[in-house]
Amino acid sequence: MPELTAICVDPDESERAATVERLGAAIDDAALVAAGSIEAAVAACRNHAPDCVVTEYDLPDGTGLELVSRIREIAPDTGCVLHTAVDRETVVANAPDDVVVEYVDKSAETASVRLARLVDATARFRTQTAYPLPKDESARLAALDSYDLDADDLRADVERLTSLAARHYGVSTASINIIDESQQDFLVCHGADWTPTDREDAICTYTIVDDGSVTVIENVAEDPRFADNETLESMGIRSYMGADLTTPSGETIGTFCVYHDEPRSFDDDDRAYLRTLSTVAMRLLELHDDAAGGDTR
Amino acid sequence: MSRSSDRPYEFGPDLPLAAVDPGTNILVAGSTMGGARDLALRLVTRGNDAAEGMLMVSTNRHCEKLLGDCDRLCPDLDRSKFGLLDCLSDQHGPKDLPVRMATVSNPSDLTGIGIEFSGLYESLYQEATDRVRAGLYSVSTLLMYSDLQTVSRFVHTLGGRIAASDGLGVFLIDSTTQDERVVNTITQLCDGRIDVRETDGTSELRVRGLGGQPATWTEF
Repeated sequence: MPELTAICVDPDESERAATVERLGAAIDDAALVAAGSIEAAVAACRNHAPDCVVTEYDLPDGTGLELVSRIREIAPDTGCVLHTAVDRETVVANAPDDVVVEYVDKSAETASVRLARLVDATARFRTQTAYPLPKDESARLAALDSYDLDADDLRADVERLTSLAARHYGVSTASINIIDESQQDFLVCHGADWTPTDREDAICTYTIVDDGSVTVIENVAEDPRFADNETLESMGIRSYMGADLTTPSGETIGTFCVYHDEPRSFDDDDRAYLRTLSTVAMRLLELHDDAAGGDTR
Repeated sequence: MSRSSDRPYEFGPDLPLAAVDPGTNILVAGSTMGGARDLALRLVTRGNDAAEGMLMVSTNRHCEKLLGDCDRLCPDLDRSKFGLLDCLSDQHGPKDLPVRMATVSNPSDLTGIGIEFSGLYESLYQEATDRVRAGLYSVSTLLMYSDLQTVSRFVHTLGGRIAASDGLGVFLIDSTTQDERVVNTITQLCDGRIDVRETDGTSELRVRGLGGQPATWTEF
């Protein structure tokens, strides 16, 4: 698999080819996909899950900024770079206020060098996410990758822990979540049938970067990070406690969480008990992985 | 021979701060009336002594006043290496100051601020110097107009350009008027944070997240 995938969007075929060629020459192990319109670029995004999109401003079916807005709906973490010779005043004058994007003037002398550096950094360090990343994100994802989490018997075992947690706290829902590159996946979820959520909409995104191993949100609606979060509202989450799932080498690959549909508090004993459950859950992941012979750590 | 981008960014002998690596983004948090703003400006204007580029984004103070603040802190400010992005042109109309300048109509226009920032940054980087210190004054204003997620993406993106260019980024937030969870989120988007407070007329700072810096309250 290539280290980096980028889509180059330009209606001019020769300009498009030139951008692809220049980026290919400057960035090692890059998969570069070309597209000539918004629709072609959106289709390419769905097929290739790019790390970065480089787009001209004037496209046959809209503007590069309209493309960025579309991409953020499909894959919100994708880095986007506007690469155009259209003057900044024109671009800014016609733009909505909330399209955060990188910009490289195509007519600048050093445009090629700057574009390559920005695409490389944007993709590798994921610098356009709408949420903070753990400082050790690369190591964290590598650690996550080294675990085999697909086994049914593993899920059955950890499901018992979430069931125990829900009963202990008197809540309807408890889950063990895995935080991958751009999504929160539910390894098991007791009491609900939730599908993966974008990382920017997940409370656990913030839990894994918060100080301390347990995070409590007593009232989601009063937390400025989540007050307008429609995903959480649709899931009926009003209060939350989550504990880090941390590997023996120190990377937090996920969380053990309990949720309630009303605001509520959790005391020190509650926190300590969840910390214990998350430690046991992590140990189970280790044991299953070792037994499956999949330990590459 | 070391490249100019290998050299750490220094803050001068009168600030109790060690130099930081190129590509570092710092949040300065405190009351803007209590010294945080001055410190955040000083971290950038110190680039003048090292012949570095300086780029300032003003979201809540008229650009002439910001330039005046910089002149006060740094009387021999080299205007050829200084750039100013004024985000209040709706309020006071276009200004023609003797510095490299761009304008955005208001602080809610994060698209415009981001694009103009990139343009100015590149112009300073290419024409003036390959070492640029950039300051955003302040994140608090952006939070008045845009939601936290959009502002987070904005700060992350600006910080990403600064890191990719081996620059120095300084972001100011008035922590006395923001929810602690918001300040923490913006902190997590930066490499480190300098807290500033004023007690009995004395300004103090402490640093988190950056090695070799004062971790306890230290007078400056």
